[in-house]
Amino acid sequence: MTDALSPPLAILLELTHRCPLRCAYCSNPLALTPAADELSTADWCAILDQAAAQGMLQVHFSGGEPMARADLPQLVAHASRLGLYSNLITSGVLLNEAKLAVLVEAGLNHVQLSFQGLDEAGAEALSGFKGGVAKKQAALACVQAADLALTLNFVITRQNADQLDAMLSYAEQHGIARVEVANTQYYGWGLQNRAALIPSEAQLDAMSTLVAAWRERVKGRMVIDYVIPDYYARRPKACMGGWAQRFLNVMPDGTLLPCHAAQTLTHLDFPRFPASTLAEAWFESPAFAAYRGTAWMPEPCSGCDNKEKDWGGCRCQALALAGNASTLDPVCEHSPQHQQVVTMARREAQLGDVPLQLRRFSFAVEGD
Amino acid sequence: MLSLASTVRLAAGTRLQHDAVRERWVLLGPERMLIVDDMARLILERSHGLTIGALCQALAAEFDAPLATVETDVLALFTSMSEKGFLRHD
Repeated sequence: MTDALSPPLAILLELTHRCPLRCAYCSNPLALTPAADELSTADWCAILDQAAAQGMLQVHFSGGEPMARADLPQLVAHASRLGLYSNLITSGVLLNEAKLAVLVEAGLNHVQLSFQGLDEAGAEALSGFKGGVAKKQAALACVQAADLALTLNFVITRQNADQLDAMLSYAEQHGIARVEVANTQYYGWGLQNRAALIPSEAQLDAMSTLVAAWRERVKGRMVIDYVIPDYYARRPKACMGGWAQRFLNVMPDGTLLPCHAAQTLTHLDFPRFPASTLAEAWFESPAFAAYRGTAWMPEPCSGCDNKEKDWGGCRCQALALAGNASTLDPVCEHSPQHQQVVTMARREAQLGDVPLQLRRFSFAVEGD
Repeated sequence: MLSLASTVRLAAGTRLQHDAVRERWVLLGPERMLIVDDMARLILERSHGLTIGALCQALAAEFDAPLATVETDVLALFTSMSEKGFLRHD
């Protein structure tokens, strides 16, 4: 890149890895951070101060379940005072009218509420949480009653892919302005459970057709963002809009990352707050510089017309699927491993009812 | 469909904000951002409480521009912003 490096536009704070749900597709790392290692309220406020001073505009409060942190309203209020646009990414199961009122008072701008499907049995199988759908529906009603902007995030796996039409109808009936149809991405626990979760190509084609039809029908009323499992694609996704180009992620213990899955790249030494400031991490850290822009690219990426569109795809996926973080994302049709990945995805998608390994705290065995 | 009789407002959770570090204005919404130039910002700010038709007449008079051109441009701008979820209309 010839342009001077810009600061990130948004920061994602994984406040905690604690969560009442145990979703089999969770993208948190397998080695979850225990509560004792989470940053303090003062640390998170200092991170928000630095983010605003650096020119970041949006803050996403995520996790784990961010509402598991008792200081969430304080952090939202702090972000509001700094002029940051605040987004709460939540499962909704800890949300009620009183808790939401405190967050609204603190200046929260937007809630993203996730659903694992609309039937209790299916959602429980994916999330290990009983009665979640009813709790989420109650949370949805609270958010709407408070007149707060809301996005519904439908997490899609092969178990619930065939319910997509019902999910979109549900969103439409509730007058939802923005919906994410988010096919699970295969990182962390999701990668462990890929054989059980990945939809078939036929399911994916049906979803794509359905989304296109729905988009046409609800144009101007409901925006539908659609994220596909890119294993079946010919070209990779522009992961995070390019490595360390737009987003900064903070893990519960203060580790600073260009994306939430980047800790799988164990050859990189990621900086950690408070030893490193956000600006030092972004502008000076070799780990952030490692795959930024196009200079790191191997052939044929460096000569590819798409190199500044997909930025070479996802480094974590290159490592997970090709065994080398610096090589082509195997989702790309030019990767020597591409056909192998597609074949594997097709085979796994036909495996039917594979037992799910639900997320669990297990600190003893790293990378288990 | 947006028409000259429509009125527009920022969608819930959307706001116009100055990006001081990058010296520009942006529309901030849920997990999205749109950079707005000076003219788009002026049009947005003037749109409050007016039909698009009335807004266009005011803009055409103020900038001494052909009304038909202004209407085409403003409708295109607002349609694009609506489809991205930044605007709602009546």
